[in-house]
Amino acid sequence: MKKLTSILAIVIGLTIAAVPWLGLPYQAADASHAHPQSDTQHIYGLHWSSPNHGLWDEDYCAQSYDYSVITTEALQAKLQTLIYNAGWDGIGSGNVDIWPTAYSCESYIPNDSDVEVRLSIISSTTSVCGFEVSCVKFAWPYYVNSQIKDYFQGVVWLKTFHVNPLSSDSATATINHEFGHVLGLLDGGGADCGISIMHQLDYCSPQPPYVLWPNQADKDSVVNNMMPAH
Amino acid sequence: MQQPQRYPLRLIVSGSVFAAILSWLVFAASGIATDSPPSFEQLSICVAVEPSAGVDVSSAQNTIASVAKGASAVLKTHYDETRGLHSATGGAQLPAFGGISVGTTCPHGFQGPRPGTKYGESVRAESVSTASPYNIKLFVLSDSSASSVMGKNGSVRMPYEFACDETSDVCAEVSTALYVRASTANDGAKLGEALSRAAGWAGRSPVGHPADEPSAPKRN
Repeated sequence: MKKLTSILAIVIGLTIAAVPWLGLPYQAADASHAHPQSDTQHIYGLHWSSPNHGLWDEDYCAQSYDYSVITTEALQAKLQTLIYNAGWDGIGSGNVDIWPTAYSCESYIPNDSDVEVRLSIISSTTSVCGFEVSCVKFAWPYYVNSQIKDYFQGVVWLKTFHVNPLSSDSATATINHEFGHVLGLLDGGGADCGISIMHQLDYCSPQPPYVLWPNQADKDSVVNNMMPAH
Repeated sequence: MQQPQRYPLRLIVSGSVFAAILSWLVFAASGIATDSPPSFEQLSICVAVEPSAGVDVSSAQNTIASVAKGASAVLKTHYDETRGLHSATGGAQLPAFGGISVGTTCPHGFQGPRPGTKYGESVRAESVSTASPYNIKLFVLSDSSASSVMGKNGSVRMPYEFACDETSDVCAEVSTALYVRASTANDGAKLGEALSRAAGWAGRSPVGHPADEPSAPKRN
């Protein structure tokens, strides 16, 4: 009887002791990138897939606002090559299913069309990014009553200096990096500076090797951290 | 006969209290904090009418606020549809529709789109750390402004303000501007549709451009 009572006391004690820890966010054990963005900052469509081309696929448009240096057509061609070569398309068993739009971004009403990803080149990004950086801005929230759940649109601003010429390693790395943000990954930094498309030169010291493409760990991070139904 | 009964009770209580205190002390000392559970409240909307000749702005805002409140049923219908779709496709059960709250004064008054919004920029130029009150700022345009802002459409949404992570190259819209014509603002059904679309609950289609198709072939 005493022994049974002791075991019962231990079980109750351990249960109560565990209570404060149960509310911690679950981090998948096989998550490879330790810095997913907040739960809201990714495009909503990556949670779902559509047969063929549908509502839950990721359509992107391209636009150059620095046309004398890089044309919209050249950017469109670069993106076709880049996204479907070794990029983000197809991950998560096709939940990320990227399609080019037929027309440039200017053909669609800004912020009010169903183009999930808008990629634009602009010579100076201070007016759109706040600094002279390439950046991503999430727009068109999906409100759950008063709370924002996810976003329907990722607006990518590419600084001309970072992507000119389009054949450069810098262009490949920059576009793949910003697309990683669209899919919910945050920049690395500090102790998290392993080889990743998200860990670029500016964020790490010592600097990691220059990364051009998302690796399997980056893709796994999107699948494991961002895609689970929520 | 009484002592064996008191002993286990005392052991259980003292052991549990000790374990709980110890655990909470360690948890507090660790500096880890759980996120507060989200508070799902009402979608909040404010109304601001563009000043123009012959328009009593205050009266118009009160009228349109009443129309917006009356559009709650349309919003609920669309919210329930998206909520149902979310769970039907494997997502978590989202909270039930909480209704809407409508204010007749927006934080910064009437705000027209600023020049440069063809780039898809926010109405407010500066980024914020937290969103200003009201999820959706409903701006009613005069007929003369409406055509230049939205062409032939009855409404258009834009980010009202962005919050940016200072250590990153990522920003996110934290409140929304919805521009509508006066004719839309005074029609409960049309206004309900426009608000539903602005909230992400209606009006989405696979691709934005009319008759748009992806360029083919996509890939091998």
